[in-house]
Amino acid sequence: MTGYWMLVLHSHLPFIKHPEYEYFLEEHWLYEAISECYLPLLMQLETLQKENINVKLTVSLTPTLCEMLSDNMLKERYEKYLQKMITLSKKEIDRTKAEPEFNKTAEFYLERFTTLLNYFRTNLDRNILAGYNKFQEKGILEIITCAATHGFLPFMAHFSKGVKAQIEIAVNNYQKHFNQKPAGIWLPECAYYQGLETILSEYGIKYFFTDTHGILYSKPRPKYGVYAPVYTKTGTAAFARDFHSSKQVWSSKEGYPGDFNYRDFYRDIGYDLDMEYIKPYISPDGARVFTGIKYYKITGKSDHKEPYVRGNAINKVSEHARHFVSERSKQIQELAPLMDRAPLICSPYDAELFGHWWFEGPEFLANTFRYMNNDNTIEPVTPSEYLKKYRTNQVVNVNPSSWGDKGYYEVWLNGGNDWIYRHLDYAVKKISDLARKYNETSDSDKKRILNQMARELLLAQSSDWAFLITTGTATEYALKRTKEHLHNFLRLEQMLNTGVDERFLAKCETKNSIFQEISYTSFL
Amino acid sequence: MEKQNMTKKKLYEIARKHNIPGRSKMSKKELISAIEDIETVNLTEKSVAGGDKGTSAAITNFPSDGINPEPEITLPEKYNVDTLVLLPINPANAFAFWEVTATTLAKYTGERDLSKCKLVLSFFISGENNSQMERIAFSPVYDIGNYYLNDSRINDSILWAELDAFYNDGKRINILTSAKIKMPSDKISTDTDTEFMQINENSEKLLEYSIAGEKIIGSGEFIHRKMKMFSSYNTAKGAQ
Repeated sequence: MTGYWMLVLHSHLPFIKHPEYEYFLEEHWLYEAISECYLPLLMQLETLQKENINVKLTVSLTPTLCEMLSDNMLKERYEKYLQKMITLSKKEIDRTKAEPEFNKTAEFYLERFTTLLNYFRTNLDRNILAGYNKFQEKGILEIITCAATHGFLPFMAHFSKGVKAQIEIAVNNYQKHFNQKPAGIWLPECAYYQGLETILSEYGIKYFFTDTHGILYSKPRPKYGVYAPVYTKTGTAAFARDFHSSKQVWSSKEGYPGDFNYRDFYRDIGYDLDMEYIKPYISPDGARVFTGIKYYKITGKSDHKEPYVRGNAINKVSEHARHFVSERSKQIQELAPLMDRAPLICSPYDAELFGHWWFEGPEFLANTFRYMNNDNTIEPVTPSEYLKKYRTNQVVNVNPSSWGDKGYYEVWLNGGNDWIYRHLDYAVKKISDLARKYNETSDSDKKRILNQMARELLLAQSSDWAFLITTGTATEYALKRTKEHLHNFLRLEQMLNTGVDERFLAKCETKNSIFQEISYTSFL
Repeated sequence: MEKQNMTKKKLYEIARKHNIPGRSKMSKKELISAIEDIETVNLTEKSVAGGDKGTSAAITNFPSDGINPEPEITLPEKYNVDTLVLLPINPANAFAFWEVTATTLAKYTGERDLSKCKLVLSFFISGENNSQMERIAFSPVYDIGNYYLNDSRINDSILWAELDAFYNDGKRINILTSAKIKMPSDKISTDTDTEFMQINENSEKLLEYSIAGEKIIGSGEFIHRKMKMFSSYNTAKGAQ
């Protein structure tokens, strides 16, 4: 062995829960991610474990995601969603009877959804977090946390109590779900500002990740480039993303997911089939949406699409995984002579890439571990293991940065979303004042109101809203959520003086039910 | 069906199912309110993460017409709190927003008379350890507003903003000062003079290798791919 590979998957969805509607479009983000990414990954880990493959994997599960995965209403709805997909798959087998090239795929979907449901119910007992935790206990998976609601920390830095609350609540939530403290954190949007390490180290967090230029532009110069972690002043370690391994997966030119044999993302029966037939499986208002049942492969650059052949796609995945491992191995062999320690290649990705956007992604990851198992130049490692082996690292000032477009903060602060921060700034300072004022209160109504104010503020702080406004995806929903939480916060604030409006408070508590364990005193 | 549109008899039936006490004496309005209260409670119990398993009864009582019952929300334009916040955007840009309350304004300008005095927003930079402080930009402003600063000198500096009252006689009084921010850098540091390390030929190679000989930071594909993450939206048109 001459070097290490560190795979990091950042799993995150904003907290989306709408008990007031039976069907809610954006709730499906979760159901799709569970079916396409989270469960398939866990199932691959089961297989790899049986095969005795050396797997070391780091996964961030954000507190918002953990709260959704353990929410009983969402679990029930997810199960119903899967049952509906099974019904649809059966109908699809009927519909495609005369077309063998599609019929086989329809059968594949039925088998897939049935297996998913079975795994969810029987193996996991509907507890997906326990599925992750099982592998953590076996030492092949390291679960890390993220800020409580994926708040963009550099924009709270001027009032550090806001940052502190995001971290404290995240750590408490991790403790609630996994019965221990998190060793590491994925910073929301990989966004780092100088000084953040002080708060991280207060909460026992030993490491975080930055984009390439977080360490590359640090001061003094990083001796090993991005091929070894660095320490910040508090001894909290930072790992930086390797550009090369990222590019191989992401690049629109040379990236693997664009291979013509892989499943095409856009052609979906939600859009392609007759309204009459598909109506029960799309939005009840008749708006066409993706169903997840897709029959075509990418085929080529034109609109012409040919049938998806699962077997061919799986062969391709194996080829790509072999290529990926041999490229990493080459990289290690190039780097090793330049360094006086074993080089480390850190490859962070969005977890939802593997399975959702790149349908065959989970199989790719599994095969990558298989090929690496047989390679003697490179082996997978988790951050905690690495830091135990290499306790001495260079101390630098890490450069403020993010993994957003252009590498800094403009995705989350521009002419389209800058108005948000004035309100967030008011709210975070206000709740901190109130936490001081009511620190010792024994008035249970006041405590309830303050705790709900904390939830509303945290939800308003999610970086997802500013992001969606910038990208123009789900803009209306993002605007609505930002305003709704701020509005709730202000209305609850008034209640501290005018007395409890039980109906309104209960409504907020029901809908925005995140972090039952919360205490507003986190904002002290 | 909205409860407002239900008959009183129907509402009474629902109240009976929920075993709401005093239902026979209630007006239609009271019935609606009592039913909604109990449904909210049901749902609260059910929705708590990790709590006991509920039934789906409460969910189905919600309207499923897909129409947003919430009115359009308008947030306050000001909060009546003295505020000056500076946020970094990238190595050459930063954003400031502020509010000076009427009370504070009166204190500095006297009866809010802006003819004798102006509010001026200034930006300052310094190196590490407060060395070489310099005012790099200023602008007369109103008592509430936003400002985008674009200046390459702020790269890698310590940056902050101040809001001052400038009087006609040249006197200046500071009203608000923002927190100091360490701005990002967009280049590899020239700082090699440290006891922790020695740059040698290999270090140069490692730096080059890290950045792949190209100046690509952040992934251009980031937005592209995130958009595709949320498949409920058909992004096909924009993302090809």
